[in-house]
Amino acid sequence: MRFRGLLLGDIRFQFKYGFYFLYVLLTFVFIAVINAVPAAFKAKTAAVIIFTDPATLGIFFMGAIILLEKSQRVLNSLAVSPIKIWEYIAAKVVSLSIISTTVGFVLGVAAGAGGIASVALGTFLGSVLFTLLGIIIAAQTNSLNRFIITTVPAMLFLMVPPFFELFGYDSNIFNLYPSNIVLRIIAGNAENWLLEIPAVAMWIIFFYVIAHGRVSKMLRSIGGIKL
Amino acid sequence: MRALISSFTQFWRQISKDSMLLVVCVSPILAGLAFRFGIPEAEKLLTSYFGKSAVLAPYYLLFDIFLGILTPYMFCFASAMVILEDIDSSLTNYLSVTPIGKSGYLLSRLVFPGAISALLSFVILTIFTLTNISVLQNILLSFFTACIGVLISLLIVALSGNKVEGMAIAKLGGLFLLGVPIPFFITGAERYYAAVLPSFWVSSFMLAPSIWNAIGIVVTIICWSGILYRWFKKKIA
Repeated sequence: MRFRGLLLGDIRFQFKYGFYFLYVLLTFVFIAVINAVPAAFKAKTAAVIIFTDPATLGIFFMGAIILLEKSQRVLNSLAVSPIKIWEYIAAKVVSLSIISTTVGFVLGVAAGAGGIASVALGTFLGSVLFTLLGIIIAAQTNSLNRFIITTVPAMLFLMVPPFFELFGYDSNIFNLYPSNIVLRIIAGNAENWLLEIPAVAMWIIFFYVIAHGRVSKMLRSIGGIKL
Repeated sequence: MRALISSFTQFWRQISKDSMLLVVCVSPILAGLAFRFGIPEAEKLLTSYFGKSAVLAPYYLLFDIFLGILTPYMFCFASAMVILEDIDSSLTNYLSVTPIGKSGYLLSRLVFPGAISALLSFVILTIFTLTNISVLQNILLSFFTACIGVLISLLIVALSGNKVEGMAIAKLGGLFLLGVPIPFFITGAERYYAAVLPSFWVSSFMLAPSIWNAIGIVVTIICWSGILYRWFKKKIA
């Protein structure tokens, strides 16, 4: 019940601040771009667009979301309420994943991608990973500019290896790398599901444990004193 | 003037403290290095792979324009984020009743950073250009791209009430640059659908320097800045 309230609150928040409007608009632009490329490259272009935008929207917006909650003292209220940290994190992850997965699905359809379910699953998993990473970084920053700067190395760390793989550089080192698996699933290139899905699930648990610690610390230190 | 300089110094200190200043100065240099040395190498690989005489070479000017726009875009994005922080902390309300006033605040937070970014953009383009554009073209490109950077920050601040909306509008602001590649890829009359974007005219002017393209740049920049400045003033009222 508490989780449902938090989730609806986050969805309402994202709707109010134009996330849905923005992504409707961006989806049209992305579809125009996909339609502009030759048919042979459509699926690959769609995979790159999905991986670099809707799948990563969590990390892009999380700094602003958490910093706004800090400045509007929303976190002060949450800190003294009976909500659990997992509920706070899950509400953010699920609400943003709804947008990501829907946009990923629409772009997959527009590109005529073969496995639409695979595109949607890959987008969802990417969204969960990047949103958790956004929470990890945002929970310990106090300004938007600092958040943006901190995301740069994190983004490079996660975004560069999948592109090496996508453009032909095949290395076993990145077989179980989270973002490589995500892009592989989005692009419909995943072959070893029994290994890849548990691997990405392990990465999500790993990111979640860190995010839990960071949010817990953030909520305990609200108001200037550490509890 | 002292108040303006003091306000600008405060802005400068704020972005230095966040290391944002370092990032906005270093990343165009890194991009310049990647463009200057990476793209000709990629061209060699692509031409041999596809067996063509040129693949990327016809678009070197496009890379130059993007490089020219990068510094102002980053500078003005940083200043938009600082303004949003100021609005969230109600600092703008206090500053607008000091000797700086609304226009002074705008000058110190947008026009000064825009001017510095134009200067940096000129230097970056001089060093890393792929097409050996003339000094006059470089000056004009740096000036116009700085104007576009200022327009994007105005757009971010004018249309958003807080940081979250600011980030959403910043994403939308990227569409302002959508006009840059259009003259390179669309030659028919349908390219004029993008005529409301100053970036379209800047790109057209760099491809074919004509009085009409210059008028297009000036008119779109004046129209957009007039509309956005009115909204911006309401925002910091």
